[in-house]
Amino acid sequence: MGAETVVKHVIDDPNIVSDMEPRRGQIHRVLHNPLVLAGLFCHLAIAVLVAMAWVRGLDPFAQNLRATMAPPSIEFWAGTDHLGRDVYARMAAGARYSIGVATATILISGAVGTLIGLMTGMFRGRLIRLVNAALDFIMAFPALMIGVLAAAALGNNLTSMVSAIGIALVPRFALVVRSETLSIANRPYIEAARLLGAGNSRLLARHVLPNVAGTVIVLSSLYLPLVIALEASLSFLGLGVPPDVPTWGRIIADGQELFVLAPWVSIGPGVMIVLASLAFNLLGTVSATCSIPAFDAEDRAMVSDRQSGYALGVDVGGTFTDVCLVAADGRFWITKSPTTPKDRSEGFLAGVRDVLDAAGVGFSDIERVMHGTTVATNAILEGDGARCALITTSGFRYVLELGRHDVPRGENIFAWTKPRRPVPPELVFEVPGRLSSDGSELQPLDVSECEDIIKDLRSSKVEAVAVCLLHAYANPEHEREVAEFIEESLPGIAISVSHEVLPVFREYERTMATVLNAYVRPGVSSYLLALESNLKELGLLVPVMYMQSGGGVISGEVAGVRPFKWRSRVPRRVSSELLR
Amino acid sequence: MVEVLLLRVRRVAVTLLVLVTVVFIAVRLVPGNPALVILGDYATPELIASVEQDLGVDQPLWRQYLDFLRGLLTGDLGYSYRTRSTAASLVLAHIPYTIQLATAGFLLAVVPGVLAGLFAGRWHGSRRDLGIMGTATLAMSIPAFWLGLLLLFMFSLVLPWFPLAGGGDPSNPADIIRHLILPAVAVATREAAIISRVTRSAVLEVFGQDFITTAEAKGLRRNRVLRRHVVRNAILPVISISAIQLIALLSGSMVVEVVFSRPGLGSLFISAVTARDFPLIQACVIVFGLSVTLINFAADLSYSAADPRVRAA
Repeated sequence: MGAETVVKHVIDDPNIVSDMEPRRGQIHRVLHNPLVLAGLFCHLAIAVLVAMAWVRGLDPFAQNLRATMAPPSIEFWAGTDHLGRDVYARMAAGARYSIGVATATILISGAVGTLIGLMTGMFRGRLIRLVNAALDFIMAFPALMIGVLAAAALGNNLTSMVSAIGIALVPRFALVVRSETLSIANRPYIEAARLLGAGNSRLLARHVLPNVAGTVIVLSSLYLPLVIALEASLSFLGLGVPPDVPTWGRIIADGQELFVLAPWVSIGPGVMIVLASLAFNLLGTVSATCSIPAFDAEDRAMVSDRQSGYALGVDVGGTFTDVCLVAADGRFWITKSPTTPKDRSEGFLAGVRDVLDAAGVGFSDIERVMHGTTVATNAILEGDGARCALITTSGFRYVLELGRHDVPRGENIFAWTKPRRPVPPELVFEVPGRLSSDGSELQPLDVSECEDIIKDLRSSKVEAVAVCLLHAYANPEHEREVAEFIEESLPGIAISVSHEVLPVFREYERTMATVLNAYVRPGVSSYLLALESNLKELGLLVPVMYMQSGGGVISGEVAGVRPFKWRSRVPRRVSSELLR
Repeated sequence: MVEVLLLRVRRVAVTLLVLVTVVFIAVRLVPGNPALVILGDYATPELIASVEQDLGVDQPLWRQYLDFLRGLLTGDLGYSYRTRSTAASLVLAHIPYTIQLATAGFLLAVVPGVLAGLFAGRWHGSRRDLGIMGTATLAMSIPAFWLGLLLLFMFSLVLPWFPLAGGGDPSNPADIIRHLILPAVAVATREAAIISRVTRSAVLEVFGQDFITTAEAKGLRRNRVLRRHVVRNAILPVISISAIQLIALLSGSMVVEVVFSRPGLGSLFISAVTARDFPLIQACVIVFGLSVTLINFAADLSYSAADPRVRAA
């Protein structure tokens, strides 16, 4: 049957990145992002440039008055300055100072800012309000202005450089951490920890800090290029560094005076600044995108539930078969194809094939298949199940017909008629034998009676048999004997026994469940058999998981034996009505 | 609305008071006797005493503070140690160059930045998007002062298209503009890149919302959806980032003015800082602080004008 399928909605956006920690699949994706590759390349370039200067044993301070302001050459890769110092050697040495100052600044101001943020987020009081006002005040002014003032006041050494930039940076960390802390402080687990007697310091250290740590790391990676730029600007202005320390900004400032005669003195270190900021900007952007929630909570739960690869979800309904394919990164594809009632696995496979084509994925890429269906439910609702018989304890033939002695809530008690039972009384057979409710045998089972039953079963052409004996949930021995006997006499017939289907007390409910199970089982087993063998042939490597009606998943083997568990999503009223 | 306005005005006033107080204290905390700075190596105790009396630094601190506040209100910011002219007149003389640079830089940052951001957001996920975002990341990573040097080298030395230094003849608008272009580009590049990235993510966020799906379901073309539905909703974060970028431009102009030897507020401030000319530092910081506070104030107001939801809050 040529199923016409419509690819309904395809979301395929490489910019959607979920906010999980990068896992196996994500690392692969991140490494294929061209911006990330460029960032890694910049890091590598700086490392190689610095390493080569070290290998060549270059001295950034050695003056060579015979080669002043020499243009770039094989000996002096980036030329020399007015004192004949090798600019390349100074660039490489500058990496140590500039990146070192930037890293130290980020670490210190990140730690101080986080601490202040935690305090101001957790506590109240006049002091805290004062600190908040101070943070807001500093935030209102540009970092460079604060840096210039602070560096001028603190003097020219690397410590004052770190503090000058740090003063501008601390509030930028603190305010973010404060707002995170404020939102965390109201969560139930904090309340719970407090009730258990945790003090403030323990709350902060064990419960709040771990939850803001991720944000602080992302912020650090975002602010690192800012700090590199600030440090370069300040040292270019001659603030915050001793004159003899070759930071990149300072070398550019030296070169500015020689710019007409020897522009190379300024160009090399500038390239280093660009490389360094670019390296951190490119990687920082990615770490920031990773943390921006691009999904709503439901999608995230769905994505984080899987490890990697593709997950396939299939719902076979009475009219349509819906297939959804989800990739590790959260992209997903949905199709809808008509259900093929004769052999439902056809519609299933048509839908799956379409969705895989749309995604450009093969069967072997699928890591998980989840299958929910209304096949069993529909068979029950439409009265379209197998012709089946019931074997029960002597005297219990009419348990099904009697049912429970009430009318479903909401029904008209005068108009309501009992639904037809899946097994008519003519097909209910009784065997002598009796168990007590504690499982002890009151009267032994008489299997010889079954001989006649088998004859009747044969002549009435039943396709399935349900066995439900009194108190079988307490002792399944009798049921087993009967089942074995039928199995031997009628090989291949589908037998459902109550102690496997629903081993609980209450005869009507257990009988109905067992009968329904027998009723839908032939259809379901043939469907599962066809489906699994087809999928295996097409290259699927993983077992299909079937949704249970009560939640959770079961394997195909279990679903084939107990399809009753698989009346997927039976409307509650329908099922309760059937059980009456 | 009026209440909100009053509240904001009060906040501005408090911020300014704190600012001038911090400046007052900071300048007096820096080690070194200003009289010694003025007199240099030839200071005698009598001279020092007379200069201290001139400056008023022999008075008790609270007295100095009140004098300082009174001076501020009357526009008296003291005398520059180096030039002997009033700090206020120096600042006033330098302000126009900085305003020109900030205005030109702001235009050069906002117009291309917003356009590039809209374009990248419209084509997000494509090669064009990747290209624009890659360029923006590169532009963000170039320090303004170094870009200024490169521009000077290329377009003033190698190709003599633009003047090397200075602020231009104030009576000749064409000359002013010729002096303005290179520094404006240098100072605007980074800010344009940041604005384009913010605009792009604002556009993407709006594109993800239900009313865009509705608009598209109605059959509107994507460009029309962009013009009619996306831009209006994405503009809010762009306004707030633009205010921040205007402030960043002001601070970036400090370094760029030094590179291009423009006689603006920034280079005045840096020279005052290196020479420890405290009254001048004080005056510059106050003027910078005033403009920063006023820009923030204006951004706040424009924010609530653009988004009715903010007004209610």
